[in-house]
Amino acid sequence: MRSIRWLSLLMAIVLLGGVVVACSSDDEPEDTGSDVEQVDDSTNADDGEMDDEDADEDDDVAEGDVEDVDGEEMDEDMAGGMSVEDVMADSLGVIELGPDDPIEIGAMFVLSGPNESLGVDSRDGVELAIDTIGDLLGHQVVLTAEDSQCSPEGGQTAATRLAADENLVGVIGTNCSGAAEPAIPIVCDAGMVMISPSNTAPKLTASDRPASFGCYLRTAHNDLFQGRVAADFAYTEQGLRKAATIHDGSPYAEELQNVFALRFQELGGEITAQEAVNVNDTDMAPVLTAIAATEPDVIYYPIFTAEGGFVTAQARDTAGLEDVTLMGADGLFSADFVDAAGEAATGMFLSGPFVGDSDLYDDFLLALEDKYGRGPLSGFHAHAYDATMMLLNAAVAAAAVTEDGGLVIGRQALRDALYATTSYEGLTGSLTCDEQGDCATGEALAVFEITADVAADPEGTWPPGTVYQP
Amino acid sequence: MPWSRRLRRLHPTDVIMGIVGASVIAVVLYGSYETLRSGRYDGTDWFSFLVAGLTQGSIYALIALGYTLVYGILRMINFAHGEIFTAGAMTTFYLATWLSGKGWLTADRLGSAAGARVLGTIVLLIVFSALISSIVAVVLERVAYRPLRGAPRLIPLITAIGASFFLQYTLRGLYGSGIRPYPDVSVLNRELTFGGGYSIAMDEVVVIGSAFVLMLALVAFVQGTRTGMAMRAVAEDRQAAALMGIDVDRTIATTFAVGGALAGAAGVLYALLFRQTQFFMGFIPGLKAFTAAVLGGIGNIPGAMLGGLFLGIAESIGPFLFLEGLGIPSPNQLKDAIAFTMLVLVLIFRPTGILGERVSKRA
Amino acid sequence: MSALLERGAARVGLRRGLIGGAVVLLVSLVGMVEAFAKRSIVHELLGPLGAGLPIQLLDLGQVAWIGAVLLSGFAAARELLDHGEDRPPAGPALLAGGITGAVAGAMPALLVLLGTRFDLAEVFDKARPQLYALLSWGLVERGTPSGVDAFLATILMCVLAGVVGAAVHLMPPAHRKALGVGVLTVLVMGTIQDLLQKIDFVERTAWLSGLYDALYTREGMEPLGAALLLAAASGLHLVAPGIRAARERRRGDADAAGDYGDAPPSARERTMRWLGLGGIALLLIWFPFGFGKVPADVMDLVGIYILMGLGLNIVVGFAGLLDLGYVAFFAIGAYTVGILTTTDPDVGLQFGWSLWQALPLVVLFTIVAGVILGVPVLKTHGDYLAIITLGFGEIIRILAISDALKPFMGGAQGITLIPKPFDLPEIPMPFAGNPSEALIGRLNPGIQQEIYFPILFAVIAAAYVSWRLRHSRFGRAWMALREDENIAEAMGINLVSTKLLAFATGAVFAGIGGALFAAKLGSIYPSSFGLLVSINVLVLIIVGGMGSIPGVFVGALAIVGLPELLREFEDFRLLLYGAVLVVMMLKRPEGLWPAAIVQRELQRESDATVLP
Repeated sequence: MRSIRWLSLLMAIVLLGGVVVACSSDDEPEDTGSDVEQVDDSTNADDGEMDDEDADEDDDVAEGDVEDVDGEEMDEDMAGGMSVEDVMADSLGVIELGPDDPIEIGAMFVLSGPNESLGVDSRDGVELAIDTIGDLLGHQVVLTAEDSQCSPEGGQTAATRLAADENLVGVIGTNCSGAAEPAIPIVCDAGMVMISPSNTAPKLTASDRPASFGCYLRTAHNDLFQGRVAADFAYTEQGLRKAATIHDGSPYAEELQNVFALRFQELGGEITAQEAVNVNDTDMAPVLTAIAATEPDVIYYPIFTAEGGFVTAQARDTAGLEDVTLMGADGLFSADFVDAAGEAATGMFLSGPFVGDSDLYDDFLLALEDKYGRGPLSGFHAHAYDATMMLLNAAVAAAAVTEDGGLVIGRQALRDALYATTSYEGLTGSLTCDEQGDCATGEALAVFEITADVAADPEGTWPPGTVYQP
Repeated sequence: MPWSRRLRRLHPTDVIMGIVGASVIAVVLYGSYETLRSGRYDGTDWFSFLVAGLTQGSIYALIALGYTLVYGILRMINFAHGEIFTAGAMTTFYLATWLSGKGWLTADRLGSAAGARVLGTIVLLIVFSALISSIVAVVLERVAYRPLRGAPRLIPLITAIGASFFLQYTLRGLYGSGIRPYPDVSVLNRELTFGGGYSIAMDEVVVIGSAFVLMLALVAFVQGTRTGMAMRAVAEDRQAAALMGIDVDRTIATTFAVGGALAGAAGVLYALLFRQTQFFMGFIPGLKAFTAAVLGGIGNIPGAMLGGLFLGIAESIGPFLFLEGLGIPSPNQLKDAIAFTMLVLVLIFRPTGILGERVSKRA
Repeated sequence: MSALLERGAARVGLRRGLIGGAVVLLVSLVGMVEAFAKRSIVHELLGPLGAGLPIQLLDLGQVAWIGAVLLSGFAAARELLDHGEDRPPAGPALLAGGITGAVAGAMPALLVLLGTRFDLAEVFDKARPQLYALLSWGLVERGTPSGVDAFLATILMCVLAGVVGAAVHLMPPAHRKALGVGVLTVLVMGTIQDLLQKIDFVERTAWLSGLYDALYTREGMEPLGAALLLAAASGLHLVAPGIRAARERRRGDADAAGDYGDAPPSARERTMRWLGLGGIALLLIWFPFGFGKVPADVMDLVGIYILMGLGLNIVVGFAGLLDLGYVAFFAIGAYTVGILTTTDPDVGLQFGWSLWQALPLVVLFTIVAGVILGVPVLKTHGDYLAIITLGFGEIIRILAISDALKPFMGGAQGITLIPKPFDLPEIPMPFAGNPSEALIGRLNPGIQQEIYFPILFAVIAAAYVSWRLRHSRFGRAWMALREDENIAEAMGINLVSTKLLAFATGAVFAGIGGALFAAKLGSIYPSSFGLLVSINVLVLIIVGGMGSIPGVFVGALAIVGLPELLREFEDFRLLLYGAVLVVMMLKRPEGLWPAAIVQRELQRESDATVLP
């Protein structure tokens, strides 16, 4: 009985404490400055050219010819036209490199756990971009990669580690939007820039994003675009009027199906059910039966490979869903998924990044095969490649060569150059960054159809053909 | 006993729990009533829910038998049992792919010679998987559990948790973290229709049927053979059994082997049904199966079967029966919460499970 | 020769070799060798001598698999000597070591032989050319089948390792220990290079950064530096017993002069103790600024896990109630703070409180949650309790992720925009440019440094509360409960209140940990509150020693801190946790720290019996 009294005493104290605690004032954090300044257009034109040259050289490099072709001429052409004095006066600080110091860039991706292939895929893209570019203004480019996992704590730790390295030019990452949120303020605070190849959460580049997100850009398409493209395709192109959605409790899937549902209703369609499954669920029959009872024309489930495979395979066995249209998003955009779903995937539509038919991309795939002996592991290597290229181009634009052959790079100038990127022709299409840091537009998206041929031999026929482009 | 005295004897916690239990039942009833009244699902839908639940439940039941056997004899939860299931299914993947490449899993219909070969191949896969899982279970017992016999109860349990993670991530290291899709046995995708829109897929029939055959075989083994008798004797009283000349270590190893074999068989049935294997696949079914074993009354073989089926059906029907009626969005998301809530309720109101615990109190 | 074999060298060698070989195969095929090979420890191991040899550097992967062979050789020698007379000749031991190495080496050698001819990667994910190159010391080229030279090279190196292992066992124990300490020091210093580089204090202090540059290259340690370090550490360890003995002697004199055992400390001792405590306090306060953000970040995480460990230690360690759903309270703490403080217009009820206002409610809610969980499980124990609590943890996570509670808890989108705990004005830098900057660094703390102090305070408070509870009536009641519930009840202990108090106290500690976790990250997602957190906490208190308060600190540093230093471990974290749990339970169920206490207590007891 004594202990009960003890407990109640404790509770009383706690309650009193709650009452006593006073309010504290909330001041807005200081603006870290995300002003966008227009940089000389010629710089960007140069950037584009350089990329083409380098992509051509890529083959040479792949054959083992490691001669440095661009070293000398780049000094004149490329160094952004800034004088050392200009650079040294940079408001955010300067990276000073000796003549033999490498240019360092950071990366934080999911390098362990169940989403590992996503991170390794992105890292491949970054490494290939570094290989492609070779020496930059006579400096080697080196990569420091950290594991940001797919969680806020992983993102914070990785960002802290990278931000501690004062020579980093910028950071490519993260993969998951959840990991990005705590990471961005840390990276920005250190004066660096951060470009994500695969964060798709709208809030990261929303117009009301916090001022501490001012150094963040992405080459991945905002979910707002993708959900919209999928809804437009289903409603307008396919003439479907009743849709059901499924998500798996991941922020990505939940957001995407919400955007889809809103757009679909806006177009005049009806959402019959918004259901959810759990990660690691296997038996989808109950949820599919429940959906079948609402008689939709299309089921949209922007989830991931394992659960996506179960849903696809079991949907075809569910009474009432034999002929329904199935749609997924880029989380399912891989040959692995079609393997897992088997024949049931025939006739399914997937939205995903449209990278299919450029020579640049074919070169990229060749280089990838040569370096790692395998194809891409997931869907964001090209975005990572573009992000790295943009970062390095901006670094060149913000750099000046010192007398002893070293390099100074202005951080604010770099940030400005990056935000000013216009019509950069990358693997993922033409990239133009807006004030909020969105560099990809919906144009780089397409809807793909899994035909019977693809379902029979996914690895051999990947990627599938497109049926719709906005 | 007069009411007043009975009331006075009632512990306050019992009162609280009684109120909680009553309100849960009330909510469930109200939710079910609302759903049924709305007429959202018709008879065929309920039948589909039931079949899905039965199929999933019979896999739970097979795994639960392993838990129950081991618990009955050692009074320990073999937390790693889910991983024994995974080990069988993932290793058999290679055999299945190879045999499928030879065309042994292809047939036009089950009645033909090719159809018989398909069924034979499935039996072969089940036997192979059972063998692998048995070996893993026996090695595990020998290396990790046997030296701890007689240690305080917490220690073998923690060892089992450690073994679970070790096995799971060893499998991940060996076979990779990706999904390995099992070959599709297309002849089993046919539906058996009964008219009126009621139908059941062949693979579901095969899974439920095999599970029942295996369970009956287990009962026959435990009740009808000398080894089974030895197992029962050791479960009853280890010292006395040893005095009667039973080799206790050997009997315990046999128990692990039998439990492992059932898990391995369940692994193949699971793979036939869901066509995907992954290193993590056994963890959640393992937890669920343990829940099922406890629901049915741990140590009790018919209880494990009943618990498994009951859990499968509750997970399948529950969310749509009473959560939907309460106006909860995406009820399917909460099905694991239903499973665990049920476990808690059963343990509070009937701590020995539905059919009662068959464990002697002397241990 | 036959005389040598008679001693069982062949049998022992074969057995140990098979076990060692299996371990080597396992670490190779699960990918540890390849992953750890990226962490080089010593650069250009043999200096100019090794120019033409395949061994250019010592990496962690080599340590993993050659180390396994070496230990097998050591174990073989020990097993052999244990069976023999007092001092058997070295011959059989070395032979056993060699046989062990040969047998163990044959397995990876065969793996390379087969792997380069057949496509093992179809089945074994990690059986890749890179692995074969590592196992054969670079003698296998990519794409070509291995030859006799590679086969022999692998076996030869393993034989060498086995013999060296056996030889180490033949050394006098003192020397053997010193060598072990030396090698361990080099390994540790080699692996923490990254971290040292990120310690601000090192970077800012000229002589330390000079030392760093002298010791390390970009790829691991300088061989000379490593050799010096090994010599220094071993030497120190050899000398240390002398110093310790001298000190013991002095203390012994003091004891003899005064009373026995637990005499009240003299004034001088007391001063020394206070000075020591003050020093530790200063060091702890200086740490986040002196060491910088990365070490502060690691310590924050360790601190949060210490908090949880202390809480679970009360439930599991003191009261013996196995709780596998401990993360539930952590989640409740984090979500309470998230809901009450977030400024996100889409989530919660827009309280807009500060962390400090929310904390009392965190305490209240976790107490309530502890009692709510506690009441239904009062009657269940042991294994049932474990599974129910596990279910409880999952229920909380599922509720957090569910669409049903999305308006309050954010659902899949989590809760973002949780404000920082402090709203510090920008502090002008009085120290810039003068020597004190080297000591303190710049005073614009990041969140990692800010949150360090609340965590430090909470840890100290929780440790104090644990310690007081441990020695209170409740502490003794918990122990009684752990040993035997029925007897405890018969002795008049109120089971209900005792159990509930354990759950509630444990819950509060975890809740505060969760609150600080949310404040540190600024955003929380349901995925951060999975079963894994419960398992991590359980592992750390078991490694540290169940029921031991210092053990929680040791366990948290080992289980949470160490993997942060070695990110390569991330992929194998759970595999190693599993192995650690099993091995600890089999070999040392009492944990790391209490063993030392038990040892000392036993010594005291034996001393006491000698005295009159």
